[in-house]
Amino acid sequence: MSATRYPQEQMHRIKYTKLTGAQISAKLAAVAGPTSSSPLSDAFAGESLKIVTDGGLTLSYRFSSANKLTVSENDGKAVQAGYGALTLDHVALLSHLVPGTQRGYHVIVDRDTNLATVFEVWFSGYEDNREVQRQIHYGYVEQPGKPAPTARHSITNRIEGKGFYWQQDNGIETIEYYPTVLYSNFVELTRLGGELSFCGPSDYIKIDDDLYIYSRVECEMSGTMTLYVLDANRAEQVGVRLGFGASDALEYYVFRGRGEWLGQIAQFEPFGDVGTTIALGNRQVPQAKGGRPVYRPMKTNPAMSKPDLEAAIAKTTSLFAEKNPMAGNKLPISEYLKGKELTLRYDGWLALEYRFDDVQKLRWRREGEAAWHEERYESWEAAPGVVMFGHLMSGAPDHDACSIVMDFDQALVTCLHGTMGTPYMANEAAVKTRFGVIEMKGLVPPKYRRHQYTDELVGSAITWNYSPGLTSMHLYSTPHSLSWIIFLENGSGGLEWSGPASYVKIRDELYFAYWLEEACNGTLGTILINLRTMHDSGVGYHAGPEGLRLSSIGAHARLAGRFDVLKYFST
Amino acid sequence: MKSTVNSARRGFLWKAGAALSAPLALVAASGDARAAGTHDAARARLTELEDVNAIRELMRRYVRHVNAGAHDEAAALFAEPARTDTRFARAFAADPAGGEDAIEIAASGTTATGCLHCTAEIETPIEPVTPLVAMARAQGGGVLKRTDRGTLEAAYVKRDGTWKIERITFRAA
Repeated sequence: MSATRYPQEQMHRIKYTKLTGAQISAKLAAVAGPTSSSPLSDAFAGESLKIVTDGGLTLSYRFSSANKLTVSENDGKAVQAGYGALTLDHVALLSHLVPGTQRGYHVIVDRDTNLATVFEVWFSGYEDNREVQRQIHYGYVEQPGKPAPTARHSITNRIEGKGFYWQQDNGIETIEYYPTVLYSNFVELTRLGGELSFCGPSDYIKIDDDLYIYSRVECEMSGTMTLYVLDANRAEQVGVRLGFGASDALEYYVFRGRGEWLGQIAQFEPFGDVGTTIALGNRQVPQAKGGRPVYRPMKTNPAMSKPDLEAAIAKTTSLFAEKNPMAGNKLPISEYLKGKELTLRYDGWLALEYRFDDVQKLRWRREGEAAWHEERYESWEAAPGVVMFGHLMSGAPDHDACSIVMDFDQALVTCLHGTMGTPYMANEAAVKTRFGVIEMKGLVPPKYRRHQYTDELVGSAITWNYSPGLTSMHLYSTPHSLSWIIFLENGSGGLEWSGPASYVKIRDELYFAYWLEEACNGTLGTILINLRTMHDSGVGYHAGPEGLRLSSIGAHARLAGRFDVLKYFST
Repeated sequence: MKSTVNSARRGFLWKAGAALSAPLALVAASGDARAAGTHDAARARLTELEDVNAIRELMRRYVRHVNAGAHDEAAALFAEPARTDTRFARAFAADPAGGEDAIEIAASGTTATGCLHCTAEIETPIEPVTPLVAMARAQGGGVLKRTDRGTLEAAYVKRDGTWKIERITFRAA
C-alpha cells in the first residue's frame, strides 16, 4: 500500500464547488477562531494595542487571553472574537475573523520596531466567492506619547528567487519557490503527493533582512490563502491558512514550521532595484479593493465543445507559419533529412516509414500501410547528428502530431506524440512519450538501449528569449511539472503558471522536454534543450477557436540557477 | 485669421506648474496689431492667452495620464473618448534638442492646433498573439519598444467652454 497520498484529481482538475455567500457565512460562523497544532502564544494576553495604518484603517485590540480578544475597527463598536497568535523571534502573527461577517485580519507586528502590517481578508469579493481577497495595510502600533514611526514594512524583491522546503507543525510538507514578485510556485508534497507544482498570486513584504511576510491565494482553484512570516536564515515560519478545501470544509489554522533553504536563482532587475514598486508597464493595477494582476487561464481560454473545435480546425490549420514570435530565435531549418528514407520503430507503438522528399516536405506511412501521407515539416539539427522535426499525422482521429528527436549517432529516436482532446477539454492536448530506434540503410540500431527519462533538469531555471520583447523563464519545478514565468519590464519575474511536464535525456547537456498547459490554453510545448549552445528548438501544438496550429519554437537560453530539490522527490 | 502663440522656452509642457506664469510671445497678425490698444483687442488677447494656457494644461494632463498608463483618463480628455485609442505611445518625454513648441488658436476661437517636440516611447504589439504573448499582455508587456524623436501634433476643439483633444498623432522626426 502506498504511503504517499495521491489525490483523485490534482488541484487544477478539481471542480471546486461555487459556494454561495450564505454557505460561506454558515461555515465561518461555526468556528471560534483558528486552530493550531502548536501551543498558541500568550504574547498579547492581557494587553491592549491600537494599530494605525496609512490608509486610515485602525484596529483597537484588547486581548483577554491567548485565544480571546475584542476588536474595534476604526474606533467602532468592539466585538469579541477568537484568535490565534504565534511568534517568530521579535515578530508576532495574530489572526482572527470578525464575527457575523465574512472578513478577518492577519496582523503582523514587529515588537522591536512597533511596525505592523495588516492583511484584511474577506470572502465573496470575487465572482468565485470562495477565493480569499486581501488588502494590505501598512502601519504601526500606536505608542501613547510617542510620535508615529516613519518607516514601514514594504513590498520587496529581496526574497525573489529563493526557495524553501517547509514542514508545518501539523505534518504538512511543501516546497515553495518565489521566482517572481507577483507569483509563487508551490508543491504540495503531503496533500497531493508532490507530482505537480502550482502557482498563485503572492505578496512579498520585507520586515528586515532576515524576516519576510509571504502570502499566496490559490486563485482559479480552491481560493485558499496561505500567509506566513519566514526567517530566511533560520528557515523557520509562523503562518495562517484560511480557505475551503476540496471537500468545502473550512481550513483555518495557524501554524509553526521549519524548513530548509533550497537555493537562490538569478534576479534580472537592474542593480539597485530592490522591488519597492512593481513594474506593470502599460497595465494599471486593478482599482478594486485588493486589486492585483491575477492570471486566470480558464477565463482567457474557455473550454470548447468537440464540435466547435472540429469546426474551427476544419476552417484553419496552420503549419509552421512564418510569422511567429515564439520562433524569432529559432535554429536554421536543417537540410539533414532531405533525401533520406528511414523507419522509426517505436517500442509498443507504431513503426513509421518516412521519405523526406525535400527540406520541408515528407511522406510517412504506418508499416504495412499502402498509401503515403504527405506533410509539411520543419527540422533543426540541434547538435551534430541530432535532428528534431515535427509534423501532423493527417487523417488521424485526434489530430495527432509528432515531435521527434532522432540521434543518428546512436540510431535512437524519441517521439512526443500529441493528440488533441482530453476527458476534461476538447481544446487541450495530451501527450505520450514513445521511445524507439531508427532503421536506415547503413545504421544498426541498439537492441536494448533507449533514450531515458531524467531528473537532471529538476530544480533548474532557464530563461528563454524567443524574439525581441518576448522572454520567459522555465522553472523545472518537479520531475513531472514545469512552470513558466513572464518577466515584467524591469526584469522582475511577473505572472507565472505551471503544467505537467517530463524530461528525456538525449545526450549529455541535451534534453527533450515537454509541458502541457492543462486547464489553461491546452498547448503542448516540446523543446530540445541544448545546454552547451544554450539554444533550443521545438514544436508547439495548439488548438482553439482560431483552429489548429503546429508551430516552431526557438529561443536563446540563459541559465538562471538551480534549486537543490531533487531529494524531496525521491521515492 | 489665426494667431500663433509660441513658448518662450522650449519644452514648455514639461515645466510643471508653469501654466499661468510662463512668459509668452504673442505673434499677432497685422489685423490684430491695428486693434491693439483697444478694449476689444485686449479682451481678445486675454481670451487667447487663457485658451493657450488651457490647452497647455490639457496637454500636460494628457502626457501625465499616458505616462502613468492611465489610458481611460487620457481618453476622457478627447472630444470623443469612446473612439479614442491613446495606446500608440507608452510615454512622452521632453526632447532637449527639439524645436519650439507652438499652439495656434483659430480665429473662431473654437479650434486650435498644437505641435509639441518630444521623444516618444512607442510600443508595437507583438503579433500574432500566442499563449505566452497573451500572458505577457496581461501584465503590461507583449510589446516591442523603441524611442523616437519627433512631434506630437494635435487638433483641439472647444466644447461648452472646455478644450478637448480632437485628434493627436506622433510624427517621428
